[in-house]
This record gives sequence, structure tokens and C-alpha cells, in this order.
Amino acid sequence: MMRLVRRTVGLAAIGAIALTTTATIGVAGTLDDLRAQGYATVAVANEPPYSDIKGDGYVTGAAPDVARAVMAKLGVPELRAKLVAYGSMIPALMARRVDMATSGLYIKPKRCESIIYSEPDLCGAEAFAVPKSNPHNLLTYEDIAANPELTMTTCAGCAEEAYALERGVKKEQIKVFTDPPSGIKMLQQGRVDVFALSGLGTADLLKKTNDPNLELVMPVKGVPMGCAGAAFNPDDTEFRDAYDAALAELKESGEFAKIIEPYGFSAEATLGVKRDDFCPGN
Amino acid sequence: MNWSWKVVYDVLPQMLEGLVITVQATIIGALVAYALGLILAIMRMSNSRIISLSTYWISEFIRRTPLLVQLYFLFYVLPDLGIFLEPLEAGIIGLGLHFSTYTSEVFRAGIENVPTGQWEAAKSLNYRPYQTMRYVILPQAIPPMIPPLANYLITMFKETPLLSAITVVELFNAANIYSNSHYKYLEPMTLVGLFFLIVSVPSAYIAMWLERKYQRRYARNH
Repeated sequence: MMRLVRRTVGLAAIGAIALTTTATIGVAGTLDDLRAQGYATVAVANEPPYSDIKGDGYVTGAAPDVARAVMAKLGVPELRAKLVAYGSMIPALMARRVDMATSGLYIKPKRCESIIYSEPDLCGAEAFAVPKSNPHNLLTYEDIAANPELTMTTCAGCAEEAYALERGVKKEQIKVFTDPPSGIKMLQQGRVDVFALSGLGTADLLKKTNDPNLELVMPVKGVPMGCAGAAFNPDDTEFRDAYDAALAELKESGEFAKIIEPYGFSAEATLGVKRDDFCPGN
Repeated sequence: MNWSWKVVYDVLPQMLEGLVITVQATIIGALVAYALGLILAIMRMSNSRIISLSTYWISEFIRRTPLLVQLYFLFYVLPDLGIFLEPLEAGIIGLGLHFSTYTSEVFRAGIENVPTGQWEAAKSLNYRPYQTMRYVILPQAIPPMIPPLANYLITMFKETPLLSAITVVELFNAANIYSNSHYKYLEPMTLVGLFFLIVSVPSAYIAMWLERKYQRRYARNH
């Protein structure tokens, strides 16, 4: 059931030429409903700088901030966050417990079988956190696989877990953490030898932990750069396409770079990739 | 909702490994709960007011705080104080400690229900406190305790998924880890429920049978 909706998009082009265009875009029910209720419920994982829930419940971080700007363009002024572990985001989308996941969920072929993504919004290298001076000299996942005595921690169902398994790390070597700070705690206490997560996420955690006995290994060689996008229910292709169009405007206007660069992400790295590079035809 | 036998086949081996951990945690945890519960009960009945009252408050404290919080404390806080427990160890100690405060009440009630005349008889035979307990009181107090203790065993069994919070890969966590990477919840969680039922329903019937059995004996003796 499709309905034609007229909407007005204010487009501020670089060079301070303000034009007002009236675009006509066909959208399925989801976006209409969101516009009517005035907010979208988004899944975030609380992994700064990808996503960050402030003490008062305000959701920020690079991914939600991009989503907020895009959704404002689409006529949905507010985002309401639901804290969802990475492993549960896809089920949450499929069960429509959330309208979108905006938390740096990497675009991975296996995930594309279940959900659909926007164009990439955040790209970054991978990292390890290890004890000071890296006693086991761990620079790649292959290094962990080479010594079955070692154990690592990461989140259940994360890209890092798949990287490890694909590169020969045994299931028994992986102890999944309940949340990233607990994972760092496990590393500090010597329960695991290495902590693996996104580069900026790991760097942020180490900065906050401020423990001189821990060290960052970045980038982890031999794994692809992880690119994330906003994720949607597979039935919401129209919503996703509208989102993509607004995201493209954002990227073009330079506003996109202004949002993500303060968080340490490179806009250039993101502009150089497309969703089709990871999941053709998603 | 599409039930897939392939998913069942995939997840089953991991879940069976998890079930072994669950049963281990329950049985060892229950042994801890019983042993510690008996000690707490005896301390609670001590003639020394200090021992009795401090035991009371310690038990109250443990019983009135959530097991989950205690597990986090054992796992994440104790290492900072120099006590390092493996996940399963911390889980077993947490379960055992928490439930010992419940079982101690069972023990205390059981012991206090032994008629005063029995204590007096032991005294008149010049039994020492250990002999009084070992030969007179406990043999009479323990049988009626068995059904409630068996019920706590079943309760502990059902509480084991909490151990997943401290990275113990027991039955529930094994299923959850699978679900997190395969986005399938229907089959793994249904199986978790089934496994718990398969163990706890027969156990509950055994507990009920024990209850009837000891009630009869108790009735016959009085």
C-alpha cells in the first residue's frame, strides 16, 4: 500500500546557496508511521564513539548523530534509543522491536541475508587491546590461532568473533563478554590475553580505562576495514531507499564530515566505499 | 515462525556441552549450599548472642540481595582484592552461598522441631554437643528436611542461566551465543526450555514422592 507524500527538503549547498526543492518520494507505511508519531526507535549498543548513551538517556555517538540528521531530513525529528547488544540487533529488527539499528553494525554478507543496510556511514580499522608491551606479540588473528593456549574476548555475534573463527581461532579460545567494559575488565584481570573490537571503540575504551598496563594494537592486519550502515527490516526497502537519498545529500553537502570527524572517523574512507562492495544487491 | 531441524542439529552439540556445565554447577552448588547451610544453622542457634546475631545479619544480607549482583561482585570485584575465581568457580560459590542462606532455615526448622525431650535425654546420657547432634538430633531432624532441600535443588537448577552473566557457557548461554551469531531464537530457546523441563519435571515428582514418603514415616513415629 503506497502513498505519495509531498515533502519539502531544505538543501544547503556549499557556497551558501540555499535552494528549496520540492521532492516527491514514494514511501511505504513505515516512514509514514514514523513521521506521524514524530520519532523513530533505534537500536544502539553503547560502544563509543559509534554510539553513546549519555547519563540522561540522550543518545549520541557518530552513528546515531548521522541517523538523526538523516531522519530530520526525512521529517522525523526525534530518535529514541533502545540499548541492544550487537548480537541481538538483527533479531530486534526482524521482530520490529526497533525501526532501525544505528550503532555501527558492520555490513557483512551473512547479515545481509536477514536485513538490509543503508549506504555505509562509518568505516574503521580493527584493533586489539593487550597487556603492556604485548607479551604474546599478537598482531593478527592468525597469531591468536597459532597459540591455542591463548584466550580472547569479544562480543557474541560480532564481526570480530567471525574474523577470529574464520582465521582458525578455536571456539574454546573465545570468551564472549556481556558488554565491552566488562571485556576490558577481563583483560585487566588476566582472564583473557587479548580483547578484540573495532579500532575506535577499543581506543575509546582504553582512553577511558586509562590503565598504563594495557596497550592498543591498531590496525589489526589481515582483516578488512569494517564499514557500518544503518540497518533496517528487510521489508522496509522504500524506507531504506529514502534514507539513502537523504544520506547522499548529507554526504554531498559536507555536513556528513562535520558530524563524524569530531568522533575520529574519516569521512574520506566512508565516501570511498559503497554498500555493493560488501553486499551486492542488498 | 519456521521450525528448522537443521538449526536444531547445529545447536544441539553445543547445548549438550552447556547442559553438562549446568548440571555440574547445580550439583556442586547444592553441595556447597547444604554444607554451608548446616554450618549457618548451627551458628544461628549458638548460645553466644554475638555469633547468633552476626550469623543472622550475614544471612539476611545475602538473602535480601540479588544473586546476579553477588555474581558480578564475585567475578569482577574480588579480583581487585586479590581473589581470583574462574567463571564456573565464581558461579558455583555464588549459587552455593546464596542458597545456603535458604537451606540454613530448613536445617534450623528441622533441628528445632526435634522435641525438647530428645535434647534432655542426650544431656542425661552425658553426651557432648557433637554426640548430641550426631547421634540424637540430626538422625531425627534430617528426614523431614529432605523434601524442601530437594525443592531448593530444583530452584537452583533453574537459576543457573544467571551464570551466563559472568561468561559461564551453561545451557542457556550456549544457546544464546548460537542465537547471537545465527539470528535464530525459536529453536535454541525452545530447546533450552525443553531441557530444563526434562530435568526439572521428573525432579519435582521425585521431590513430591520424598515428601509423601517422609510425611508417612513422620506420622507413624508420632
